[in-house]
Amino acid sequence: MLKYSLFLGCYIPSMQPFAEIAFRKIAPQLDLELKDIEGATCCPVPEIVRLIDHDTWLVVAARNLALAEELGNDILVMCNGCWETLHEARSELLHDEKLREQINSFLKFSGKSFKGTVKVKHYSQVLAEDVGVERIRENVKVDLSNINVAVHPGCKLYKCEEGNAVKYMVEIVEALGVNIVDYGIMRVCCGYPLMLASVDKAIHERTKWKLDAMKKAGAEMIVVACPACYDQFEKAELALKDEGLEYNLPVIHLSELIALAFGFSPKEIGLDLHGVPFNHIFKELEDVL
Amino acid sequence: MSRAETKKYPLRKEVKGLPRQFKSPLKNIFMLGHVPRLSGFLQRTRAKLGLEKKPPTAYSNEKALNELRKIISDLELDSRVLWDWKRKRFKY
Amino acid sequence: MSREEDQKVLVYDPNVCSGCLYCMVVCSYTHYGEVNLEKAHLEVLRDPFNENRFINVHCAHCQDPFCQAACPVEPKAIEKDPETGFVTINPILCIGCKSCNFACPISIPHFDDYLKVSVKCDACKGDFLCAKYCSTGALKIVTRREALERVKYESS
Repeated sequence: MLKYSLFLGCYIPSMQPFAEIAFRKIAPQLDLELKDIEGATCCPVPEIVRLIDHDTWLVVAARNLALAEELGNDILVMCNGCWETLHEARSELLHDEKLREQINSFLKFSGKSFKGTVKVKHYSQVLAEDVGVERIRENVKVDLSNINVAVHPGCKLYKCEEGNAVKYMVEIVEALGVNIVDYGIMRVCCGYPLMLASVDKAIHERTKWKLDAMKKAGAEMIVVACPACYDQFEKAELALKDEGLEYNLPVIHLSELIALAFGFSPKEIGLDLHGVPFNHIFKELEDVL
Repeated sequence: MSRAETKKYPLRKEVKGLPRQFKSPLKNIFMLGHVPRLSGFLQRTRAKLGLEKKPPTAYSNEKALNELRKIISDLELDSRVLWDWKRKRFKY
Repeated sequence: MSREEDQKVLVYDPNVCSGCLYCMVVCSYTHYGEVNLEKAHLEVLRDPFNENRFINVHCAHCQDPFCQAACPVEPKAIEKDPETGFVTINPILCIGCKSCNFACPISIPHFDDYLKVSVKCDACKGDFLCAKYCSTGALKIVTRREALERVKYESS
């Protein structure tokens, strides 16, 4: 039994609960024991808080890491942004002893301190390295080979394990038996950080570019590993629908796709709650199930 | 600063607050401890899916939120971004 | 010479860049306190020769800067720090003649309409926040020696 502390972040529990329930459902089948980190706060967001004040970002991240250290297991993160924050804050604090003492002095009032005993892992990394792709393949019960998916790993996974995390994610999706289409610009950003600067540019020059390429390659849905990418794709598709461009490319989390392949029904994991409906794929799914 | 004020005090510098894009996420971090708000609809949806209504994070944990606020005021982030705790909004 | 080789410079890897433009957001916020892509001191563009790739235009903090040579003011408004190697514009001495804008082969110094002087990358006083906060790790801080080796390797 592999034990992990589950760090969900902000977006998944409050906007995309289907990703959480899907992961909680597949965890027992993969021998994963998940423990919630009680009292965790925002990671905090690397795009905003780190830019405004680096020290606050470090202290709050150190607090979240210290909470996980009390539980004693490695942290499993379901969000790319949270992974970046926790991983980078950890490595920054581990390499600088003076900084660590300074940051810990701000946590003294709560009786916590950062020691650096637990590792931070993205869930694709856990599934590929610790659980094993073979293990996932054994558990697949439903044949999904008639679905064409486009994989979008998200920027931060290119930093995770020096780019190996992207390979892991593709391997996992392959192991589920779905058909991966190559659309050429897998690496390109979804446009989420650009939304800070210019909404129009983000939607038309990044998301639309990706959606066009995916549609052209014949994809039927987009698999993402990051809730921010999920949010961006759905938002952009709804915004472009108002302009008369209909893509009908539903976005799905990696955890949900695994749950579907493991035989959970779409209703059970809340696939009907997505902003872009799965109706045209649902029929095929229900025939299979 | 309004145009009339600029005319009256031509040498007075404008107080620059945070960029507009950063305000609402930062406000939510100060008030809720998280970036998005957990709405009533989502709470019911969570219950329907078989999850707890509120996750055991700062959404439901008052102590965690207070610790976060203490860290923020200890590091003086709130005064640097001109946040008003009484009115619960940015001064500029 | 050896000291010059140990100075830090930015390198950009187009194979890793995802074009999220977060480096430009970081740059404009740290220098101007606002999020405005036009005010950033570096720019990520679509590669004109390969439409699925990006290129980055950033200051190389040259060993013998063109912009400094072109500066007509005496004493020169553009100075190169001998210790760190960073080329910066002194806004008090700059007269806003735009000579450096035209002298630079990739036009790194640009005219600031609000300050009425030319502005350019100042390496965030040695921090290189764009590289530190890069989402994919495409922008990296390396020494000049490593950067030159890499250029030789890529071109061969």
